[in-house]
Amino acid sequence: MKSNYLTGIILAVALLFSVTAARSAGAPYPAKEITYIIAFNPGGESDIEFRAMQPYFEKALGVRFVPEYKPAAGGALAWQTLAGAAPDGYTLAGFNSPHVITQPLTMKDVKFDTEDFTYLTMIENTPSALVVKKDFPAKTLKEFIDYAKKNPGKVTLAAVGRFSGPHLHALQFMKVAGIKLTYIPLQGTGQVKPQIMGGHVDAAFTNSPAAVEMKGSGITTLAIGTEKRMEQLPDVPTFAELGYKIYPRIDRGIIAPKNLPKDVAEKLDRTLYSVVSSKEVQDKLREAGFVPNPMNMAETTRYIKGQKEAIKKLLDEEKLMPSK
Amino acid sequence: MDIVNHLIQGASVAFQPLNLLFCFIGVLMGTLVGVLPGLGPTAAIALLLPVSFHIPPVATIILLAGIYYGAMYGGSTTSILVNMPGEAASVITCLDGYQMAKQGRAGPALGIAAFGSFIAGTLGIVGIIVLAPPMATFALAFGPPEYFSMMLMGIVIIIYMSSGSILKDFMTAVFGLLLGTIGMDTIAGTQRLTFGILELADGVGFVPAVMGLFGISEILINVEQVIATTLVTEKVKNLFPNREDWKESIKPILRGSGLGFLIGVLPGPAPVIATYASYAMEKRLSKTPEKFGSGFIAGVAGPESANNAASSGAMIPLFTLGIPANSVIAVLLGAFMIHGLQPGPMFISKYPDIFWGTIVSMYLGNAMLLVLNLPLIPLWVKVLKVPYPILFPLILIFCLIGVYSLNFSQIEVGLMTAFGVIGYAMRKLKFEMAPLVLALVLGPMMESNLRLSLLLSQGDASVFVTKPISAVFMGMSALLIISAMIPSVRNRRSSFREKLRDDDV
Repeated sequence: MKSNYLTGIILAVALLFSVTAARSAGAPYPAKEITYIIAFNPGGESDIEFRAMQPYFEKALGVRFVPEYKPAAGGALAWQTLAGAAPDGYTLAGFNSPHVITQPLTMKDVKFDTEDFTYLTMIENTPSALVVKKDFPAKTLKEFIDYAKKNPGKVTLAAVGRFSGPHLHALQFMKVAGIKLTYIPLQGTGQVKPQIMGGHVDAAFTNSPAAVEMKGSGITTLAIGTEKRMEQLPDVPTFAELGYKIYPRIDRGIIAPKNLPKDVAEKLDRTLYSVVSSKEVQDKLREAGFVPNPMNMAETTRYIKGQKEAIKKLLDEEKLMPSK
Repeated sequence: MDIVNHLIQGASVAFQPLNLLFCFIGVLMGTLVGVLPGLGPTAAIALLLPVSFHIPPVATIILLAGIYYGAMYGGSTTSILVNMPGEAASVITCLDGYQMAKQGRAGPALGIAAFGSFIAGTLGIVGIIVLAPPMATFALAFGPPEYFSMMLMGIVIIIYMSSGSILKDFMTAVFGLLLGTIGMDTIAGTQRLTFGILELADGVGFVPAVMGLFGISEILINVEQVIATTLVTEKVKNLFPNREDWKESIKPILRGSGLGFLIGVLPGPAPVIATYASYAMEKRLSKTPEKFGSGFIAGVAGPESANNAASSGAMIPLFTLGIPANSVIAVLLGAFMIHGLQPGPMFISKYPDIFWGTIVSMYLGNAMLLVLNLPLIPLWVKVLKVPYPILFPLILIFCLIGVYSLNFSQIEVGLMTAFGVIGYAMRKLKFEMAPLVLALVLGPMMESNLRLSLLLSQGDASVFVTKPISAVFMGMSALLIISAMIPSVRNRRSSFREKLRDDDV
């Protein structure tokens, strides 16, 4: 008697499981929650951006988006994990450019390639700005370049990282302006502010929110990498308008592992793009200091490809490609 | 007076029911998280961050700040009870706190830690009110050379911390420095000693190292000995610090608060350095330095106050410069950004409600923590009565879960185990572990600051003594080394003189 009862329960439970399993196997995508890997610490820009959009994603796709933080090695660990995840559309990640391009090229032991992902959408970018310390003998970009030409290698420029986005921006700038600066690699935006505000470095490439924060503390922002002038910094000219066709910025978007099933990729492409290009989301992003830049899957893939070629060229020309 | 108005304004914000509630939740969660070995404030903040999106900015800041200093309080509890620091700043508390617990004086240790932290928190808030703007400018004057020299002095301070062989402590410190080189070299962009493991690119995690060195090794050592079944066999009397304890502690508390606050203002891992510095200072100034390390209450009172004061001090660069002192405060900064608040020199004048509201709430939080923690002391002390066969496996489980929960990384669990074995070996060979931890934390920063200084000065090494603040630290380091050597010289001379006298007689 007892064993029959037990068997009955086991069968019932097994049936229940098989029903739910069948349900999710046959159900249209998405049928369960989606894991969204964030490559940086909670509270950082990637996190803020995700939180701003999370309710809209969940509404549009009808399932929960569960964040998973995997900060390490500047994001490389998270992207490595994503590259190895099952290509079923239930694991996505936020990505940064140029990080996903430079890391496989310059970092040892990184087990992913830029091409290991499906680039679903581009969300926004954070432009970089060139700032100089208080009392620096140059108050415009032209004066800065002239000063640097007269003192090659003497002017110090700080930014976050080596072979990182900001480092590449500095290299690009030095190339188009034809000047030589001493590059000072720092560890995180948190270090850039005290160094420039304390006058320990002459200049810095920093992200636009930091430039806005430092307004009114004696720091001069010489130029910014946007296409049009930023509302929050109306007096700051763009590099482009001053004749230097560079657009230093960090781009952020969403990726999935490569070889996604066609229907899943299309659905994600459509839905994510409609969310990031909606007015509400764009307003929210702007409030947080980002520059909305929605692109769909095709555009994003093309963009990344172009960026990769440009970056490879830059690193090769400057003979900076490290041997791995 | 202006200040009184500000405080009243702040109080009116802090006492609103919603803010009071979040203050309480924050400190409670912070304490819980701090007490559990392995979990840190970052975990709690990550959990509560989603909540923070739906509540007004002041409440968010109050909540997150509460978690932060709540975790400080909680961290001391495990340090004292089971020799396991909750985080970097609690390592020093282990030295004397745990010894006190072994002697049946866990209650007074916990009590003085709580009271000391409260007093320090209060003084810290006074400090913020009075000193915020000038301190901010002071902090900005610290560039790479200044940081390097200050940290060098920090390493030299190890001499004063040691209760045993100075040589052995320096050996341990050098080992810590070596371990600190593991990871990505941020200046050249290359990987060092990572052996292809990407998880190590950020260096040896502090948490796995500490939990292994202190937690796992403690268990391994104890399991080896034939011990009584409970940690504390004598009756635990005097659950609170008595008059004598207060006499010993009051000056360390005051000094610790001052020192901690000053160090806290500097962007960087201030609480850690503050605790070590306070311990060294107390030992140097004490009439009975040999008692340190064997359960001397001043060795708990000073550092605990210092670390709390440093946390308060760390709020200054956060508000006035937007510079977070460590990753926990960086999350606070993120919370600012989410709500559209701009930290900066204008912060205090632009958002007086938020600033003063937070300040008053921090005071409230400190008070709440005192009230929460004191009655819990008898409870915590009971934990020590749990028999080893039950207590230690539990600790082991907490350690394993704690480390894994940080980053879901098996590598870190493996690291912790490796450190456990290393710690066991070290203890057997009678090496102290605190210097290793200090060097592990300071080492990477010392190195990057050294290299940055040289990059900035275009290779000119004299920058360390030509820049005033840096020169001061260098000078102090030299003085510290010399003054450590003099007593031994003096001793030899006086004992020689005595010998002569004896011979005469």
